[in-house]
Amino acid sequence: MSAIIEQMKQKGARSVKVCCLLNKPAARKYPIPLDYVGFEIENVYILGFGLDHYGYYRNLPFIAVCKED
Amino acid sequence: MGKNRIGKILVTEEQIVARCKELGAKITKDYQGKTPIIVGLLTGAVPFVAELIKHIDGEIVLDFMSVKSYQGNIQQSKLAFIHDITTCVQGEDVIIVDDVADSGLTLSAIVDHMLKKGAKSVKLCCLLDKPDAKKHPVHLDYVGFTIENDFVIGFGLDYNGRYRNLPYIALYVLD
Repeated sequence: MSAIIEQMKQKGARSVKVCCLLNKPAARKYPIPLDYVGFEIENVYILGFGLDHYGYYRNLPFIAVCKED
Repeated sequence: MGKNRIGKILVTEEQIVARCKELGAKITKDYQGKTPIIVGLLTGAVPFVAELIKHIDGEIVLDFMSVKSYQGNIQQSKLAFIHDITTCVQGEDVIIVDDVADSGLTLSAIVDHMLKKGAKSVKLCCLLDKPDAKKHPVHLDYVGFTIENDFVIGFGLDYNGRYRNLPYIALYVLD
């Protein structure tokens, strides 16, 4: 995400803000400012509403925890 | 900001959501036991794909592609792929999703492209159909709404890149 922000700035954007449906603060390795956040969640494997497990489950109309074997 | 170009609303947000529920239910039934690859055409199809797939109760794979069509003559359309899909469609069932079917040239070229890649089946799903704009016969398997050949904006459809975020479909007010 910070690389994308950097690229937008290099392209000459006047301002760049970041909007995420989900924020996993516990997973953060690089500090990035999130301007708009949908929901804060724990660092668990989730799927649905765009998030996938091997390409599946993106069409779920909700966000759920992925059951791992 | 110039003059307000948003004209008469042709399809409301409620109507779009209700129709997506119906189309989603039909796709669910038609693809029972299968995992169709849903390919949205950037950028116009994004709001429609996002609404539609929520109502498909089964396994799907979602991908996007971006094409530009250059019309050589009335019979042919050359496709330039800005971004092709990354999913392998060999032996798979593909559903192409677009915002509007007008000339039909781009859509039929994309169907050919998918068949050449080895797709087992290719179906077309469009939020809007403009039968009067058709130049090339193309069969639409799933249609949201049939409209006249007017310039429309909203729910993915743009004028110079604007108005895609409107939650409804409206006429564009020309000068």
